[in-house]
Amino acid sequence: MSVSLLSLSVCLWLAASMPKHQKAVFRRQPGPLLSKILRLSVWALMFLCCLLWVDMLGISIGLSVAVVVLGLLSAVPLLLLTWKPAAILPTAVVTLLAGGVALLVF
Amino acid sequence: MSRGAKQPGFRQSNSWIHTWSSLPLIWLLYLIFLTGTLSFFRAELDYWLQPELHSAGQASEDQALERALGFLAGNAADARHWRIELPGQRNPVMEVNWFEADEPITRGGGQSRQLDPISGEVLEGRETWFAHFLYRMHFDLYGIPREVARWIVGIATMAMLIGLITGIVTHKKILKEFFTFRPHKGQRSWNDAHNATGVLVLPFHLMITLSGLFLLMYLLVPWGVNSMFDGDFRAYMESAGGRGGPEREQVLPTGDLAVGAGLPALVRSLQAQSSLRWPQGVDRIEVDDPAGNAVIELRERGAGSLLGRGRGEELIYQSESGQLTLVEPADPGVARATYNVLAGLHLLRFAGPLQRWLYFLCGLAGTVMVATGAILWVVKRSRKKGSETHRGIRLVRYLNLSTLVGLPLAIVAGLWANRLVPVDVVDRSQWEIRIFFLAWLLSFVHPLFRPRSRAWTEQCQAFAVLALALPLYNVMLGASGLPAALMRGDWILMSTDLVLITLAVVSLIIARMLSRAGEAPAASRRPKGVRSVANQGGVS
Repeated sequence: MSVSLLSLSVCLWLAASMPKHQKAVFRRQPGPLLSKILRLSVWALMFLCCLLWVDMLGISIGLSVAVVVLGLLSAVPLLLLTWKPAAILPTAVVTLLAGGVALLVF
Repeated sequence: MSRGAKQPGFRQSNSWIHTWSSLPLIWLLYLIFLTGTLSFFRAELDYWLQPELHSAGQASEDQALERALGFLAGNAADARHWRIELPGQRNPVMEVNWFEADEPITRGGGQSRQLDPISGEVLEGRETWFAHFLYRMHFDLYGIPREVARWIVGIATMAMLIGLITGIVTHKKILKEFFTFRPHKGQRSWNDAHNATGVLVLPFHLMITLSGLFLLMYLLVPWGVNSMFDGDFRAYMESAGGRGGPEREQVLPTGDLAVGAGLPALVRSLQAQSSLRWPQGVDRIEVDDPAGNAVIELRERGAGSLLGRGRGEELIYQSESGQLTLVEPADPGVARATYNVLAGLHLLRFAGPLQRWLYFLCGLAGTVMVATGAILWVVKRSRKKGSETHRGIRLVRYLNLSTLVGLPLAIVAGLWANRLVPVDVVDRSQWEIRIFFLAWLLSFVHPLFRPRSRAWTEQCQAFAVLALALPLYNVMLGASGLPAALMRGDWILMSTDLVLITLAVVSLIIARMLSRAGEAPAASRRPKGVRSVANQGGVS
């Protein structure tokens, strides 16, 4: 559950970090430094997610599940960006916090 | 080509290959994707197709084993071989098989009974092959020799792989437009839908296509086996360590086993020992020579690695020698490991419900990708002059409707046949298949007599009505209905009915959109500035 929530937050943050969508998500264009930090953090989070899937299911099954899950969950930011871009940021924050807390607690 | 004519660029050339390698086989690819996607839940669908089994209770592995052993001891004590398939998350009913002295031990042979794991009573499930039929259709098609069918499927899979690779090359903004969908924009919307369903789960599409090719590689590229083993595939497999690859054997201590306490007690103690080692439990138990020197074999449910083709471990006890052996997949060579991982990923034998759902959703995305590709081809050309009379475009339009909607419609008709054809009819399972093909044939005939947009709408509506009515009909069957399944926590019945309802709703929405698009000629007489629905993405 915690890994799924984190995976969802990765997809949402990935969408938010893309230059094309930044204005719609943050309502203004973040500076280049902030943009870079955001992008690096997203990739770090994605790496962490993959590690968690691998830790849970072993290397071959874990990696394949991680790739499939991340791809499928990418449909959520796609739908939000199409009809409700303002919801991306709060959803990303909530899922990240919920996933992080669940990971630490359980 | 004249000197002055501009050469098409690399991307354009790929775009041409993308279109023309996929289009001739696109309907076959749609069939392969859809039936393959449904086959991820073949065991679950098979259970859903037999309402007589739905009253079975859910029991623990120990309880079920107790009942199965009791049944076999009472009804097949002199048999030469027993096989027990224990209930699991994919099928709550257990199956026992036994083979008499003169019977060969084969996969589907012998006598078999399905048992209620709580009461041990025999459950008489109706004769149905529909789930199996959909599964075989995925790679063997129907009614044509197996080898020919697999060649056709192999060529289609190759076309799919070419389509995927050229699609990646053609899609110049693959990363920039990763999360992009622009609705109500006609051709652009179809393009976005095709790209999104293709790109979001691209690793899955590549993996499932490539692994499908790998599974057919001995047929498509037979020269290695032909030259080294004279085409003897069995000899090749034997030299490669069997289908799953090489195995490693380890003798275990028999300390806790109930040796000498009778066969049932011995099997139970083996199962208890295995439960410490296998968290997902036991999938199958086989007992050879149960009346004499029994050889007991327990097989693990699921697997921890794909290197052994998603195959679990085995525990074998030989009564004569008193030896307990653990057989586990050994690390294969690189070539074999590559084949095993890809085959394991495609066949999904290792997977639990979560992974099956992921595959199912990805498979649906792939099906939608193929369908939107077929529609996009027509939408792109429908604005061109003379498209209405162009034979090729008309043929693609016709095949699009009769396959993209007709095939799901035929599948739902097959499910209805399963429910309505009387249980005692001779060749009952064949009738399900006949009705499937009859419904599909009707979906080919229907557009010949109806205007195009009406035909799309009507077939979508027919699918929605049939799919929505099935869960309602199930309610009348008592234990098979959604409320009863909800009360029992039977997720297989619940999710099948919920998927049907969801698909029916989606189909109704599509029918409504198409119906609006069909009114476009009237809408086009509206004053300027009022947007025509036809330009908002109707199916041409």
